[in-house]
Amino acid sequence: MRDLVADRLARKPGEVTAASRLVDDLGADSLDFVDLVFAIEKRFGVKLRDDELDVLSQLDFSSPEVMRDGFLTPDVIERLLPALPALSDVADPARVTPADVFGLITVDTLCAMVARKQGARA
Amino acid sequence: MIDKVMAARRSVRRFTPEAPPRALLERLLEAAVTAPSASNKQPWRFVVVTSPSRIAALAAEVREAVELIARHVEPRSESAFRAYGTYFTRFEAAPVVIVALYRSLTVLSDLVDAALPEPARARIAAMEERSGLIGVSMALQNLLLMAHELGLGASGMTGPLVAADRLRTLLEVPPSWEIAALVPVGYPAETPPAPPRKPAARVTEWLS
Repeated sequence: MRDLVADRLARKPGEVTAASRLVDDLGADSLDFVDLVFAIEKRFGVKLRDDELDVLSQLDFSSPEVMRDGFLTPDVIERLLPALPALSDVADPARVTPADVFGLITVDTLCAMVARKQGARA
Repeated sequence: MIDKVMAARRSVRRFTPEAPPRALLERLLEAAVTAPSASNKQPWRFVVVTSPSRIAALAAEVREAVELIARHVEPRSESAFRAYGTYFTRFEAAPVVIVALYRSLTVLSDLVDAALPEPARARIAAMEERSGLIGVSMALQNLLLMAHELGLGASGMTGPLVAADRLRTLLEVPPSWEIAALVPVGYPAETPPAPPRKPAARVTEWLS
């Protein structure tokens, strides 16, 4: 996973750790994120787009069911929790922005998603 | 005005030994990343080489690749090719070489299913490749114009790509990235004359 992330984001493998945040530490943007998902699916033979990641990448941020007063609704937070356990540690769960969510995604998050998929398949 | 900068810019290949300060080089890169790109993919990365020994090592690889090719050029054209090939290593005269990388984002290729006919699949792949290359090319033009504006000399070089594989290794280019061009940068030691340009009317066809 480290080599894959380093390649796609043009970072040295040594710069990428399990705790590296894709956006803040490695400079990924949303397109990089989509590209990474495809690359991970190919490399590890899993489908990540079926559930949590679809929730994340296809959220309609203009919908009142997704966003209220600039923050994600509790329902959305709950749906994202399985993919992003770190969400349960945020200071104020009622004031989480989409940028916060992307900021929480680490290399370890991706590894956990793949492991969960591979475990489910096995 | 931008038209004056565009008209006055030259491809500079001779430089004084003094290296431009890092702050100036950073302004070139800041100009580069303001370029447009398809879907704002920003499919570029830059490697700034400032070590003379590393630049010399890059040039040595290019020289070797030129030599290999020269041995396979038909005899009557060999000497002409060797003379042409000396241009491919001109970047070694610069105190700084900026290497521009690009990458195809293959999102659409990944989205289509296996039943899509091969010609259509190939067209998608070509589009994705060009999308990356055009993006970095526009960034390079910004960089070259800014270099001129700041009193620096530079030129975009693709000739060294005859040694692309070896350059990739020396520059530690990640596997899914490609080298688009090498850009030698420094203070100009020459003011090349403006080469003739074909008039726009000669290279344009209007369809109405």
